[in-house]
Amino acid sequence: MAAKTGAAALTRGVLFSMEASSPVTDLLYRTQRGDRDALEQLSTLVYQELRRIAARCMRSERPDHTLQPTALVNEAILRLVGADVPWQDRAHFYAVAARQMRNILVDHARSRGRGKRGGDAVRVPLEDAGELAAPLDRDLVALDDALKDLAKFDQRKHDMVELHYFGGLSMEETAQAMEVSPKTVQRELRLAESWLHRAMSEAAS
Amino acid sequence: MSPEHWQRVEALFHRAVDLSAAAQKACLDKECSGDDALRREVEALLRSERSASGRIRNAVEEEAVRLLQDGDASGERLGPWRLLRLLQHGGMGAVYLAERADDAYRKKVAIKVLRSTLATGLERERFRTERQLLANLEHACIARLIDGGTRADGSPYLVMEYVEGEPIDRYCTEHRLSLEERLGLFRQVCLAVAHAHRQHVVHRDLKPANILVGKDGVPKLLDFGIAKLLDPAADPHVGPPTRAEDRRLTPEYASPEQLSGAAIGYASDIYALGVVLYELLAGCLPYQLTGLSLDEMLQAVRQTDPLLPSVALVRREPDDGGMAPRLRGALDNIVMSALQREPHARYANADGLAADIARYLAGEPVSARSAAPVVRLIRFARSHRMWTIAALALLAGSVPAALYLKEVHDGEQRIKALIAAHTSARAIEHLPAVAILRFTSNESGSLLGAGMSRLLLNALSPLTRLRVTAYNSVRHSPDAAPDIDAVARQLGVRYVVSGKAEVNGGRLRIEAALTDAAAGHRMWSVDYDRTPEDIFAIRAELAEKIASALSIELTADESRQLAKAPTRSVEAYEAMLQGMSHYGRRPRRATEEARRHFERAIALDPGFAHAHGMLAMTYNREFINNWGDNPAESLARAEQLAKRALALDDSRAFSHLAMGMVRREQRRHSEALAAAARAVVLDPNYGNAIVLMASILCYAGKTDNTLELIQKAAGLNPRNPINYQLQMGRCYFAMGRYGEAIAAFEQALDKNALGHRGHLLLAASYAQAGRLDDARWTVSEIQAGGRQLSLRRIEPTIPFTRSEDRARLIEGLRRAGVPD
Repeated sequence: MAAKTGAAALTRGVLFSMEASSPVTDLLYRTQRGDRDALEQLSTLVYQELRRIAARCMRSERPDHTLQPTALVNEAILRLVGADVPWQDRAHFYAVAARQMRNILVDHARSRGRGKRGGDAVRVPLEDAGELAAPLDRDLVALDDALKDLAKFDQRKHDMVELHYFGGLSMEETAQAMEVSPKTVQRELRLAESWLHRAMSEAAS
Repeated sequence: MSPEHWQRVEALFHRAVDLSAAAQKACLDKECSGDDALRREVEALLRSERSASGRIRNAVEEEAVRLLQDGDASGERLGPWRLLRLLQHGGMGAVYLAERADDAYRKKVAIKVLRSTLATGLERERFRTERQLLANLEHACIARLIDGGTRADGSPYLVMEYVEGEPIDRYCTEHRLSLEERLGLFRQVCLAVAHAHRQHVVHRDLKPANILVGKDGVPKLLDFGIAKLLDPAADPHVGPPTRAEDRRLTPEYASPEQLSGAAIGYASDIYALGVVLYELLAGCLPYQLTGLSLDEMLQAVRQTDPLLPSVALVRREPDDGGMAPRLRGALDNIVMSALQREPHARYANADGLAADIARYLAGEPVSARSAAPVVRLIRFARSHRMWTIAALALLAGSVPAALYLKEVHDGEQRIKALIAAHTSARAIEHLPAVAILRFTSNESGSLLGAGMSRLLLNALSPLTRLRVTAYNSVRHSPDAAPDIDAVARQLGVRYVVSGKAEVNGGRLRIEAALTDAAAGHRMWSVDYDRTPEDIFAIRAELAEKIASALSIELTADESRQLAKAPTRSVEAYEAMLQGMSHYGRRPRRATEEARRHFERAIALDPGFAHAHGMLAMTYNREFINNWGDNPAESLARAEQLAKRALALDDSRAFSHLAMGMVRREQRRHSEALAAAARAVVLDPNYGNAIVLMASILCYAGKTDNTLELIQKAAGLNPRNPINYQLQMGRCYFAMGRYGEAIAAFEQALDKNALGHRGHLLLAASYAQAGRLDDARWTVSEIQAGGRQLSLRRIEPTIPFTRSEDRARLIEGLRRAGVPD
């Protein structure tokens, strides 16, 4: 399950490819000790690395169109898997990477919507009617907003959702990362998902 | 959401989620007793549970897919630049935040990667030239274009200064700027736009999102000229850009000409500035276009007027803190001046707009005035009968009961409206004014040179949405290039058409240019290398180009007329031109010479309506001046020829003018007025037709407004101002203002333009004013020319219809010594 989502696979790929370099691990340790500056730098590095992989995946697309982009991503990631690393270090890394993956996707989703009276004129040309966003197109933005709201009163559920959906960690891995039991993760995720679903629907109406 | 509440929700959710439907209901009944809100909340969550995880997964997956499909280039290197993150993603391409990979340039930049690809060398070249133009734009309030290039796949990219700030409308609201502060900010924007215009760059997409105000309160304009860069197909030498390309725009800020796909110029930017100012003052847009189709948008913008900013503000916020009264008057006028539908009615340049804002802030009067309602020259039905009856009604001063018909009433109203339109100074002020200079030429081409400007004048003059003036200066030598600015100022026009027509070795070469004197630049220039036979086709093309460049929309009829050549034969046309140059000199011999040329033109092309009309005029003149032995015959000939001209082509004003003149001499004034009115309607710029109307009214004794009519006509046709002195004199005589009549006639006399009739009127004026010596002297002058004067002979030729006017003339002449 872990490698199934494209986003998750990207994150894993990044983490594995980055772990070898010491400046990154250094940043990581500093982040763990609460260094905000280091957190920012690390976030930027992860962000850039994710993008690089995404671009590389795009260019390595084969003419065989039956392959899904996510499958392409998985394939690319598999090639990048590196050596084993202690779990405790990886857990924190995942959190940062998951957050950055979320940022990348949300940035992209929000930037697409900026056609309204704001940035590039997307409204007209009328020939490109496809540019006009259908409600589902805006779901990720709604998800991001809902997650932010959720964090206001239940940080733990928020973190679980982020790790699981954006970081691509399985239930067990998520549990380990957050130092709770898998059953707790299962329970809490269930409610969190329902709550988010409802919040997203309310935003769309 | 309080922690306690959430805990209850959570507990309840888990208790109920795996129960059967019935058990769920029971559970909720028990636990939620009384708390409906809690129940609803938990029920909603339970409903969502099943599809929740799938939905979230989809949202994430789909965005990842889109991301990959869009080929987000973040992280990439682009030449010396490294793309950091995606800022914006839209129809044109993507914008990334970027920095130099080698730290050579510390500041962050915005890189716009454009979707289009430049396939051909020519396209790349144009992109490079345009880019250079934009890179030269250096202004504190314009985001600089730093660099640019093309990627390996041919897609171009631009490196621009990264500007952080808020869109100007949000900035004003968030920081609660006062009216003065908003105006000050806006004025800076105008000055920036003016700067760019001077560098020949049009923005084309001005809107608050492209005007960011930073923390320091300085506005910066983004994306100047980017729209044009993406349209490399626009070739400056061919004139206005092709229509289909320029559809990428933001409708709320697009000018009517942009929406309809017509030529875009500096005026379009002015319009956008107007919309922005409207927003900053009224807090809303002038037109609400959300959800409308392009056609509906066009209709809204063209046919409805927006509320004045002061009115719109009050409607939105009845309690606006006193801003609305301050908008009324000067500021309303400034905004609406920028928002005029006709590009020429707007401020000529952004400096003008900035200057008016400065004046307002300084408490000085502004140049913008409230827009006069447009008086449209109404197109009449083609019924001849209706015209005549209407003219009769107007001349009679009332509608005879027996004749009362709706069409008569309408017709009368329309003629009155026509006269009002032409005497009202404001009516045509908003129309673009263009002067056609005489085309210079070489020896062999000199006739066609003059002909070219006349052809253009005749082609453009009928257009109601244009004010056309002809300028024919005999002083201006054929070789010297005309001083466009001086001409424009002298004639009070904004646009000038100038050119050259030369014939060399059987080839006709024509160069023409259209200059915007107010904005100070040439709009386009063209040249043709054809044969003389093509002159009519060239005329049609040039006329269309001019109309298009001035954003004049032609009706189907107007287009057809434009394409119609006056004659099929160039030789016939040349003969007519020669005839006209002789006719322009007034003496008898010259007129007879002219007559020969006109007859030749008709011989070469029997269908040449204009030549028939001109020939009719020679006979008319013969009658007026009493040259022939048989005046009645002269007039009959004239009538016959005028009828023929009308039969050949009644869609041109001139044919009606010729007929009008004949009828006037026949004293069939209602028909004469009908013909003259028809000529004016067909050709609103035709000074001579207006003068004819004035003269008929004068002779009919209806002298209200005739003076203004004549002045208006003189303004339209400065080429022949001497003619108007005569008209004015006649008018004053009819009004009994002898002193002024004398002054006018004397001026005409000085220029040797006082004909036989004019002399008679002068003599009578002197007599009526008590200057008997002058009166007698004038009579003797007339007689010295070999005429035998007698009141008996003169009496039938007097054109006045009112008996008191006739009496005054006769009396005056008698006192001047004319025998019975």
